[in-house]
Amino acid sequence: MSDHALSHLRVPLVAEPRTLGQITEEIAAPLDRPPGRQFLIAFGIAGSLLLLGVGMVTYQIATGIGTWGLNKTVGWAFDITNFVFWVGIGHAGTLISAILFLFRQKWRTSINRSAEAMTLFAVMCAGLFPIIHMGRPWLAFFAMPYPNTRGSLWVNPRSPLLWDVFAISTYFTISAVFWYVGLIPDFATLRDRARPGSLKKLLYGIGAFGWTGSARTWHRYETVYGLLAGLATPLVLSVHTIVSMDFATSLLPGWHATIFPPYFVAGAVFSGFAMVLTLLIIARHVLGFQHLITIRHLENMCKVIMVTGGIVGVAYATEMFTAWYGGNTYERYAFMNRALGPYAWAYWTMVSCNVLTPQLLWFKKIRTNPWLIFVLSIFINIGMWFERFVIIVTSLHRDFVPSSWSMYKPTVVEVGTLVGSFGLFFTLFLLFTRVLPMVSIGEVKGVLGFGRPKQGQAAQSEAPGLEAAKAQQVTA
Amino acid sequence: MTQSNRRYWQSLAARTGDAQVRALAEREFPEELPVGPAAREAVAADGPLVPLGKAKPGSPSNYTRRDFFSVMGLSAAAASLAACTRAPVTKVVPYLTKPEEVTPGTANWYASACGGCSAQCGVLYKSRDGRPIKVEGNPEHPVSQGGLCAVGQATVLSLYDASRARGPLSAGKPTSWADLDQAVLAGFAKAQASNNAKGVRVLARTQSGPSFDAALGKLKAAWPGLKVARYDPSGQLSSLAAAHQALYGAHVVPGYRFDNAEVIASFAADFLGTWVQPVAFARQFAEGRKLPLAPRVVESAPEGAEREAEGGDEGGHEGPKTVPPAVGHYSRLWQLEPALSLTGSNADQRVPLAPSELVPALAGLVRRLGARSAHAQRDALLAAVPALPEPPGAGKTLDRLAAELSKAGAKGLVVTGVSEPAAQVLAALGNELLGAVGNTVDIAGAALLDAGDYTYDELVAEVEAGKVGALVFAGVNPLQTHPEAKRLAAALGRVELKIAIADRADETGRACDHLATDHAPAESWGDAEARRGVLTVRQPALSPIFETRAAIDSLLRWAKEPAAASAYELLRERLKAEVFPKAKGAPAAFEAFWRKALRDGFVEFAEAPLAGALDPARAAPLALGSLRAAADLELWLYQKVALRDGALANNAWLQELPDPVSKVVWDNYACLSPKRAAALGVTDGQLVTVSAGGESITLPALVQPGTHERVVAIAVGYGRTAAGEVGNKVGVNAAPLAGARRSSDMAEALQHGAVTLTLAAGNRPLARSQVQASLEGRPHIREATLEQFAEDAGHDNPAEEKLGTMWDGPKYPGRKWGLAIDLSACTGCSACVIGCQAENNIVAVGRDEVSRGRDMAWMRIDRYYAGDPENPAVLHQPMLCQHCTNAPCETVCPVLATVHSEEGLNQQVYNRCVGTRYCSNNCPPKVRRFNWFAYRNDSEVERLVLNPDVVVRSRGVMEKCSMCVQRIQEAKAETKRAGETLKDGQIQTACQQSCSSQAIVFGDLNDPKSRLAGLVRDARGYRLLSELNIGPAITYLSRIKNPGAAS
Repeated sequence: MSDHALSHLRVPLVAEPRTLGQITEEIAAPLDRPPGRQFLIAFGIAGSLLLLGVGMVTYQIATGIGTWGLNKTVGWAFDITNFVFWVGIGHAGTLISAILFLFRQKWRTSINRSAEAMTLFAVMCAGLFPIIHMGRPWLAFFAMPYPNTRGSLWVNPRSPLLWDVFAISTYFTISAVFWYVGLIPDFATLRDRARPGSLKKLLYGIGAFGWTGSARTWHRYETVYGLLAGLATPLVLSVHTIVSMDFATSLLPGWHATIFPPYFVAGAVFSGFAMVLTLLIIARHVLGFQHLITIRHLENMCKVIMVTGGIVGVAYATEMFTAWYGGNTYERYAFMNRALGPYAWAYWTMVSCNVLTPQLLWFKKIRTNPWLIFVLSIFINIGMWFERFVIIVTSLHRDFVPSSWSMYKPTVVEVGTLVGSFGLFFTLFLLFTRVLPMVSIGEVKGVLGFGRPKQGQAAQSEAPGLEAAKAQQVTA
Repeated sequence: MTQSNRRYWQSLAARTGDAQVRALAEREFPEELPVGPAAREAVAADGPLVPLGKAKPGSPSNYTRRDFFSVMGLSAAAASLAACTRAPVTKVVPYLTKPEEVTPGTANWYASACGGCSAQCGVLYKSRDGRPIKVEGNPEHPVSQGGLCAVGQATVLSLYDASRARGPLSAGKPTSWADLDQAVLAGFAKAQASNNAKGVRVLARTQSGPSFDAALGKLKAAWPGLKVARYDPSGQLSSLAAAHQALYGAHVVPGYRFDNAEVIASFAADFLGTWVQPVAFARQFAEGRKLPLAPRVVESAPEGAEREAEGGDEGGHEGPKTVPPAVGHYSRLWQLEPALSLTGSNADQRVPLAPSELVPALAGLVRRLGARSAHAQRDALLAAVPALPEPPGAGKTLDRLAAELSKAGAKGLVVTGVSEPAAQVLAALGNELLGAVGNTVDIAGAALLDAGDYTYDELVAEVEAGKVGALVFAGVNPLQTHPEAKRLAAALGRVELKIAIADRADETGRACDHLATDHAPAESWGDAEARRGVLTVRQPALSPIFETRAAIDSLLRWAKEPAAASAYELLRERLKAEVFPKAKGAPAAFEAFWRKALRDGFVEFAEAPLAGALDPARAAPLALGSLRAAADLELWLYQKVALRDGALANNAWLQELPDPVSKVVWDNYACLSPKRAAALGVTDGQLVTVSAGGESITLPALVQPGTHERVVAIAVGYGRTAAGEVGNKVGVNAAPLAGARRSSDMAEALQHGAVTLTLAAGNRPLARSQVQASLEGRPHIREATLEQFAEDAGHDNPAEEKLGTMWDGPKYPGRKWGLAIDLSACTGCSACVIGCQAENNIVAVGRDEVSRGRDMAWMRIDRYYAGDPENPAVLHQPMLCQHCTNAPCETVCPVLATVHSEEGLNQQVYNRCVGTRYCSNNCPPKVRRFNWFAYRNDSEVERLVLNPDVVVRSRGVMEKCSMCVQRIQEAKAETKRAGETLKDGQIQTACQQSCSSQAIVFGDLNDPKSRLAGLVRDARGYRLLSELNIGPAITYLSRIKNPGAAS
């Protein structure tokens, strides 16, 4: 990473004294071990949920969207709620890996790998919903602008759904490339550690892309990484902005709001960090990474949650104020209905989870207690899911013409599909913990106390990156 | 460039010009190729060709490159040919000799008579390739005048009902007509041989047409002693006829003229929905409430300036007022009724009355009218009015009503839907006292009804006494519809031979030995007397689908008529003998007259007016009829607009038509007033048990605003057990509740009586197409009183604000189609809903799907309540795709599956739709409908009803109103072919076409002279949610009520 001297006043990011070799061993250890009991139980549960989801989606596609609880008035509910929820989850990963990288927030190094993995898996879950929510998912390719022989059939550039198609696919592509590029040095480490002639060596070798660890390789790597971080940064803003436009550009009271883009982006980061916390608090405990993913990491993420949670809270208040101040009958009714109508329980669940819960993090005792944070992060996840549910369902179920007003109730199939998407997410994440290093070996080495100047001494001339490269060669 | 002269040589031999080398050089290939003769030689030398890859190692393959290519080419060609196999071939067999009148792809129209109910309106069957696909009103018909109700529209589905019996049945098993006839004739002979100790009896419909009656006459002639009883399940016609028989000595159903009436007092007569002739009455009612056009006065217009001075006070809106031309005649409808009916929902003044109060209130009104009447026989008429205690609190209302009616005099009209002769006598007395007879009531020109030889009750008594040997049920189903069906069912065993003439083995048919399966009306010849001197001619629109036989034909067979005698011959002969000589403006030759009659669907002929003498004394005893004491809870049986008496219960369209008032589908229920329901602790769907005299039924309750507090109202026509796959077990049969209160002297079924109601365990949520009942103060429906309208036609309907846009918007240089809907004319009768369904192949999705909010109606009627829940004001608003110029649905579709046409239509491209439902979410009036499942019906028979001009939608696609684009295209093609231009009014959408009230007008918005453009400019015109800048192409005209001064 950068070669500037680190202040000795800073608390080291890796809490325990570790050598470079130890770091490699520690992080790679889970990949060498056969799967343990805890893993198998977790994988069994996640896999079963995934299978449930596969069953539900198969049934739904074979039978029709009618198996969901939607009706003529409420055309979207769980499907798009889940979509926005999962896209939002993904944002934390990109924020951590790209924006925090550009801001040289070195504490990101021990969490960015898993956060990015989470991004990818979340976007996969998200991408599923726009496809399965279609009445005829086998024609989903109609949404792609491909040359065809059906006359001049083209897609509609005015439709936010089309922007979604591009936004999500771009996001996924960039995220995947960014993640992979970051993985290359670690692939090399794993390749070098693997038994010669083993399949592992072959596969990791392919992933390592001919990495040699030379200074030039590192230089190019860092250049590419920086460029990709720059590319990914606007995506953090653009993807959820575009997702919010699905609603903001429509006519519907409760959807038609200019505040949506920033509100959605903040909400996405908010929910994403909550999900990162949920995952990492378990992972650091199970894998014994407490010294790599320290309380300080958790605390930092809590602070991000407090900021974004605050923005979300202000957005809720602004919406209400605008509805009242704007004086539009339909708008006013939509928001009154949100807070006091038949779905008020969902609204207040959302408010208490998203606005009240983060306030607890003002207390240092709470935000440095992993298990309390874990509980709060779950609440925030629930709250953010409900936020999307509230926006979608309460706006739709009572809109302009009262004769169409109706109620929406999810069916088993919809709940099963939501549960299945969690199954998919956790299955992928668990597999990830088994085959790839959960923490970036190369990057963590850069923030080790190792090589840091002693008090009062000048910085060592060698860049930490080079140090890390050397260390790799040593372990090899 | 210079060419090099240097020549290169290959070998010394070539350089020296060796002949062998030169010869070789001449040839393309230095060695012989093993093709052609060379190859054959090679084969001859080496034996058979060894296929490629199978050559023995060491031996060179005999295949060459060329062979390889030729074989490969052949394989590729064969493979591509093989890939060209078509899907299994289903043959479309063309006509070997094409019928002269059939052109594939164009429709034929046949004028006929509707078979949906006893009104028998004139209809046109639209027939494509020999099968009727749509029933439409006959615009030339003098009585129904082009409208057709929901039931009539739906009869086309009943024609293709798969549950119809497919041929004659004996003991439930298929038989042949010959065997059946033999059995029937033998049975008749046996009965007659008993010397009428056991007679032959026929139970026929009260109104079945002159030809049917003539056939019945022939049967009677053939079997002396045969007696006919008439049966009217609702009692509407029979009670009217009985009353007029008593009062005027003529067994008639009078002709009413609601268009002539200025004040209408309706005592629970649902004449816009279910009473006698709703189609004709709705048209008349609309005629009696015509409003002049009043183009909106705009601020900038010079006329506006002078109006400015008087504007600005407590008028409905700021800006100039539009003073309309004087309103000629705008009737006022008073509706006094126990439960909110469709007519009640359109009333200017509605008064809830308990059923037991209806006749006393009517008597009170007649006495008041008598007090002001100058009728010559006033005292005699008043003497016939029974002295009944007036319902408490009704005095004031009756005073005002009587004053208004008396003021209108001959232009007043009193009608009652209480199907008891007593009530009908009182109403007739009222009209007589008003002098309305000959003006709003036509007795001399009324349709005559056959009274039968004796009554239903007498027939049942005979059956019970074992005096009936053979009994024919001709088109009636008393075992389902009669309150005391049990009595007849129990005694039927004593009848040796029971025959039913019906289109299916219904409840009565199942109890019979033989089912002489009848044609559907669209397959039959026949006629109906629309009014005296107007005969509606029924001609078949297709040859019978099944091995059925017309009821008339069956009667003729059993009357031992010659084999040539048929319904067709009978009708023709009757017309020739009885009608042709008296026909008005008829061609000289009978053949031409006959053709014209079939073409027109009706004939008008000079018939001597009925000579009836008013005799109040004769009616007096009848007026005392059945009077019920008031009870704490009274039953009120009513008919629903869709199902009526339940004869068409197996029709999914009708079952799924939302009730115009309650919006409930696929069920009947116990309506309770909000107050009563609160007192009982009943909410919607709560099961309640309603009992009366030993009979009890359990059904869900519905809190229905407008129900009288002491009333539990239940629809009849439900609870069928043998209607067919669709109609069985839908709802509960409420008829038995009336039976317990029946007095023996009453001719017909009763609608009311005291009942008890207890809460039953359980809840059955009702499926409703609309749940929200209040408009929430939104301006989607605008209304004003007649007085406010006279002052300012744009009352409460301010001119649309001009909204700024950043672009010019689309241009429609040619035509721009639009629609105007007059909310003053619309009664909410829902005929358009079914008309649209039939035209556009809209599926019925069933109770479950509707309860999930997934009805598929492209055209729906929104109904809202306002004011006191015990007696609310009701608003109806037809709602359909608004074809917005800036359509919100179009911008959001990612695949351009919904786009605007060059003529301003918002079009849905089904095969492009991927089903994101975003368009529906963004549609303000929520008119888009999604195919949640594959709803298609593949029944061989039932799919014949599909309109071939309209695509059947697959699952997963969105659909919505297309403004009948197929009709637009057809008309355009037609005019183009004929070299004409489209005329205003030439195209009618299905909804417009079915509207009896003519509330819907389709046209070209770009044509300033079109009827539509006039309506759009009208000060009453407004567009839904115009403030969203969506630019709807549908204009609503505000609703004008005429309640008069505050009561």
